[in-house]
Amino acid sequence: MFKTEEMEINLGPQHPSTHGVLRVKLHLDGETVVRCVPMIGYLHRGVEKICENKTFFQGQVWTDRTDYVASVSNNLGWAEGVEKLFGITVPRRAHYIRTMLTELNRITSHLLWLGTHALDIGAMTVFLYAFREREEILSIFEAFCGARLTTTAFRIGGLREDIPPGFEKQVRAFQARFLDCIDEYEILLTENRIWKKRTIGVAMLNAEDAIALGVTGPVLRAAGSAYDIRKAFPYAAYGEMDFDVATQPAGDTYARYLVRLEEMRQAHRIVNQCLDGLPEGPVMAKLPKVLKSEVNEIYHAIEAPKGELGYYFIGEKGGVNPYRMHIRAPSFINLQALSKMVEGRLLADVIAAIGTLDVVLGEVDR
Amino acid sequence: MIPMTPTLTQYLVISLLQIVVVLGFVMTLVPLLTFAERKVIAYVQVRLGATRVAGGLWGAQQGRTHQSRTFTGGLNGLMWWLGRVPVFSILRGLPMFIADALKLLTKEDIVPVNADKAVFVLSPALAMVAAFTVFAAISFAPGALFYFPASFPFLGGLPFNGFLTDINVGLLFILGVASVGVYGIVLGAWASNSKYPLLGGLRSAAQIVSYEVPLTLSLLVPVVLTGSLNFNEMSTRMATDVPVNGLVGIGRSLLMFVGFFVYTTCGFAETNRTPFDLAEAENELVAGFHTEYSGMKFSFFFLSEYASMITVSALATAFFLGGHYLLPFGLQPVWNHFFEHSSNAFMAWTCAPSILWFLLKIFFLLFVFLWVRATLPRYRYDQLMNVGWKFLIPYTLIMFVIAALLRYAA
Amino acid sequence: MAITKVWIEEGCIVCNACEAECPDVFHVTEESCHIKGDSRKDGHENENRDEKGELKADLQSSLEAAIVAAAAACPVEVIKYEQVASVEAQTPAAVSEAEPTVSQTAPVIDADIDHAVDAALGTALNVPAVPVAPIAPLPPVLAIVPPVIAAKPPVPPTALIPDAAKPRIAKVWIEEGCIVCNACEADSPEVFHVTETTCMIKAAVRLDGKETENRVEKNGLKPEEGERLITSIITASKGCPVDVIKYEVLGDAPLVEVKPHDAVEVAAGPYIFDYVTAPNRQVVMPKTVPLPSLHTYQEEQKAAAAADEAKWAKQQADFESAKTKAVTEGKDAPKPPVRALPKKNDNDMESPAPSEAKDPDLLHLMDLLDGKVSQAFEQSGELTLQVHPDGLVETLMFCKGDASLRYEMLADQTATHYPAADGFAFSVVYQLTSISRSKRLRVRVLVKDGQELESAVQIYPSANWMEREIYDMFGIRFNGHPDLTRILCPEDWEGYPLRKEYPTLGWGQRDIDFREDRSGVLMRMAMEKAGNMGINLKVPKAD
Repeated sequence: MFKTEEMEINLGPQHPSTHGVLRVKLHLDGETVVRCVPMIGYLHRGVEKICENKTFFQGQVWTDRTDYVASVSNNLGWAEGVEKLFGITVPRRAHYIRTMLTELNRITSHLLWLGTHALDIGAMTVFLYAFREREEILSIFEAFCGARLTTTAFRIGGLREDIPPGFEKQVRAFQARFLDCIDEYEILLTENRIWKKRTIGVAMLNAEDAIALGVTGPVLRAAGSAYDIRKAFPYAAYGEMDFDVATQPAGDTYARYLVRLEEMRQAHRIVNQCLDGLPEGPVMAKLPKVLKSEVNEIYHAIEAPKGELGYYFIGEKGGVNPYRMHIRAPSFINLQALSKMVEGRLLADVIAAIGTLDVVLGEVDR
Repeated sequence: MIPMTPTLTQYLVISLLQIVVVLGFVMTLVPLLTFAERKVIAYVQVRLGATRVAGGLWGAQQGRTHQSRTFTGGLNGLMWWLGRVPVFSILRGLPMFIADALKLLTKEDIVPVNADKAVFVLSPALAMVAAFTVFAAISFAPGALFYFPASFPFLGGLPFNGFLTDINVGLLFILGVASVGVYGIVLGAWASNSKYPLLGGLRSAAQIVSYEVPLTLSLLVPVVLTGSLNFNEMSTRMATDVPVNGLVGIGRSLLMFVGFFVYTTCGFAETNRTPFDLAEAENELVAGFHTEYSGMKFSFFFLSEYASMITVSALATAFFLGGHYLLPFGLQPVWNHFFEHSSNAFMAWTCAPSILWFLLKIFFLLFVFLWVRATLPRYRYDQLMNVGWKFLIPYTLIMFVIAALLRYAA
Repeated sequence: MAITKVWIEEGCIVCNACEAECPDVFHVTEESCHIKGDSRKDGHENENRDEKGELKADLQSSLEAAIVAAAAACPVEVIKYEQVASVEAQTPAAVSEAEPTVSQTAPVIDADIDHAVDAALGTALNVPAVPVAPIAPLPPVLAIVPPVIAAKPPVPPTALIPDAAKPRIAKVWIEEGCIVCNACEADSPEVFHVTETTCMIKAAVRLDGKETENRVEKNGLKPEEGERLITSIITASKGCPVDVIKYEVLGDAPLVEVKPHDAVEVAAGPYIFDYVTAPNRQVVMPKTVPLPSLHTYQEEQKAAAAADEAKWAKQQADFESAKTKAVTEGKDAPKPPVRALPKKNDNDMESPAPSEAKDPDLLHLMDLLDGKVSQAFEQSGELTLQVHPDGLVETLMFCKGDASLRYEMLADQTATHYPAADGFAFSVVYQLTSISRSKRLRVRVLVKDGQELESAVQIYPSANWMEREIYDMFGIRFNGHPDLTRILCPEDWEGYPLRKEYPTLGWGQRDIDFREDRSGVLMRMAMEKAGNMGINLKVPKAD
């Protein structure tokens, strides 16, 4: 009879839809994926080693470059982690501004995800619509800290500067029209038959598997588990904010899409609350000129757009560098679930799964 | 005027002239279509390039001071006044199109080392030839476009037709030749000796084979209804055959209406356009069957795709949208009934066949192609097959039976 | 009184100064400076760098003054010459710069050594230096006494030498060309100090008290230090891979057996970078073990309190004695001492201290894992449970399965390298999260180097990639892991990057600013330097 053999195909590291330099080794039977092995490390820069040789202030710059679409979140994780290590109390106003910027950053990250994910599935227009709004938020970041992408927005102990004049107006102008923009994306996708066909039931991951594989963030919440670090272990000003955790029971690509859209709406709510309730006061804690750590070991996790972003620090007595710094990168851990999601499914679903996991290779490889 | 019967030499000369004109028309239309695609998608997607680049060419818009000299200049002035960037100009984005064409012409032509060289070179040509030969049987104008004046040397008094050949089995010819195009894709994919093109080629073969069936079956609906395979005859009969029974007439129009959508769906699949562009699904297969192609070879595939878009639109126009007449779906007899003998010269003119209607409908359909591309996501491979075999083929078969019944009733 | 040889060392800047002084001997071209063929015995015209061909006999004395003047005029001091029987004419500096290798290779007659040493010291001027004519090559005036020779007992002591019988190093300096390899600092840490860019002679041993390469000034060592450190300096000099450490000996140098520096073969194929032995890629190893621990903290606190107490007691005793003394002498009593209050903290910073485990989870786990728990404490609001490696799997199973614990997720797993620690080399931490109870727990294990740890993959599947990463970065192996391969580094990577001994500077790191290198000299130096280190920087030619 006929002899058949599996075709081994390398998806990436140069491929339009692997969102960077992800390489996925696929064994295909026709177009059905028999085995899927993600291979990473093409962007490995040794950020942890570098940060061990930088001071606590210098290391923050490197966090911009891990998940480069959510640099403000990374900055927040770093700053709060170091503050926890030293036992620094940050002024309330700084907490509010940090929360606001981090939520805006969540919107940019989700917009980029939405655009690229829709593009992967073939819907081109959403990509450009999403980037239109993302530009505006990047301009807000630029007004705040002078950088659009690699922000280094915060300082250990608070903020370097208070918000600039005109900043609030700029944010409010964006806030005023953003909800309509989300509706616009929904018109294009949510009830689109092809979109639903391509996403419903695709790349399933139930809550048990997700928790066992350490998957966090929107992917876990779309499987029905309402684990959100902003609620579970409140940090920054999230304890004072009124917002809902978006969850969906289905655990498929469509559910993740709905969860992320809802998260953008909730982020919009939080930004409004931050603007309305912005307290007066200083934005920087009183600190000694040179920060010298005591022997301490902390793990501080925040809810980054991709999931649980944890910073693990070990401080040395009198050290100005972290003795050890480790990043618990959500993309890295979430990518573990890829094989489970796609094995036995079609090639096109691999693309959808990579998109829906929302990995950033700068963070996977660090 | 009595039509003269041309001698063989005259016939050959006129045919040659017609070929030049038709091919020239198509060859101009295809690149312009890419330009149009760029512009249309840019407007839909708020892209900044094609709506802005070089808007000031030829002094059309030189900023705020020269706004009102032209019509678009006036519109742009209005946009300035509204606080928007002025984007209304046909010229904006034109340099991108020119650069695109120059890029394709001057790019290095790479043949992979392990490719099957002869097939690799031949397959784009095959796709291109198939896509352009089809135009031999398409009738753009119902009869003669014009007659050479009697004083014209050698050709005086002879007609210059709006079609190359008026063959009886025009539809069969078109379907037959157009199917050859898939060999270009499959062979090109195979000859590349690479995995992604292979997958793309397989997808393309499977897709075209599956969609040929409903496409042909849906085209058979008007064929059965009118009883002709000829382009001109088809549109003429559609416009002039008044069904005796009014109910049959309504049924006929409804059937044509449904058939048009089925046909268009299959047409999208035949031309590998969104949402059926699986063969070249950029996000899955890098570039599909033409991953290894570059330069002019790539643009041959590219151009043949656009040429087949025109073919599909022309077929839809001729068979469903009333061809050279104004109204689609066999509604023309009603219109004619009221206005054919109208005293208004314009209304009387709308009852007559014209190349204008034909081209307008083609352009509209082409616009739909671009519009859909900007709107819809892509089907998955198995879903595409499901749509083809499980829905479209049964539907078209049912429609075929209904058409036969209607024909019998008439 | 004649100059027998003259040659140009590397580094000529083609300045024409020498030709101006002595046109008969020097000829400056576009690229280099040559010794003229007319003036040489062998008749060649080149820099005479290696051959050191002799000058023509008739010119040897007649041109002496001109050559000396040219050498003095050379701004970069690359003109070197050999002068015989002209001890007075030469400055010590010029002497010292003369080529030492000749004397090291030439058969040396004992008597001449004596003279040479005398000449070098400038103390035995009354002894005429007699060249031994028939034996060629002529032993030159020696700048450096080769240590491995059987020499006669030392020459006259001077007032400087504390113990006349003992030999000592008078001067030591570093010539140009140091590759900052740390070899000398390892051999003789009291004298040499290797920085990022160069090697210094430490201030503590020098007469002038400066810390420089001592290249130009050539200041002397302190006599007692020179005597004490003579062996180590000679060892360092012999051990220097590029032989740039030079010294002057007073007296008879001791016989030092030094393993010669291994010439590293330049790799022929693609580069091979041995990060462990690469000489200039050493890292500063941590000296402390910052392992947060309640025991250590308590001990430190106790010790600090005791020290405080002792200080206070001493202050009081001092005060008492001063008081009695003042009373007896009839003076005013001194002020009683005031106990210093702890420093007031006016910052918004309060360093978190570890405290006893009070959390029910920790207490529960300590009950469950009786004897397996090394310690449990809380710090910064985080719970830490340190367990013995044998009890790790048991601990994790309890954490996940126990109805009152329910730590469902292994959020993070990572390791830390403690090279300075006794009894262990790594700590591996597991950050557990209980989603249902909103709680976090850290489980810590201490591992020795080479010790295998049980894998957590069977309990927490998310450990899969994290354990691969730990293996990749630290080299800790996990028993029972389904696929323990490198994950971030390539499969053939050598070394474990997150260990503390792994250097942060690596192959390809630029320590030369090539933008300044218009003539390509630096590039050539870098290639040579890399070649010495076993790195082939040359781009292999395409076939």
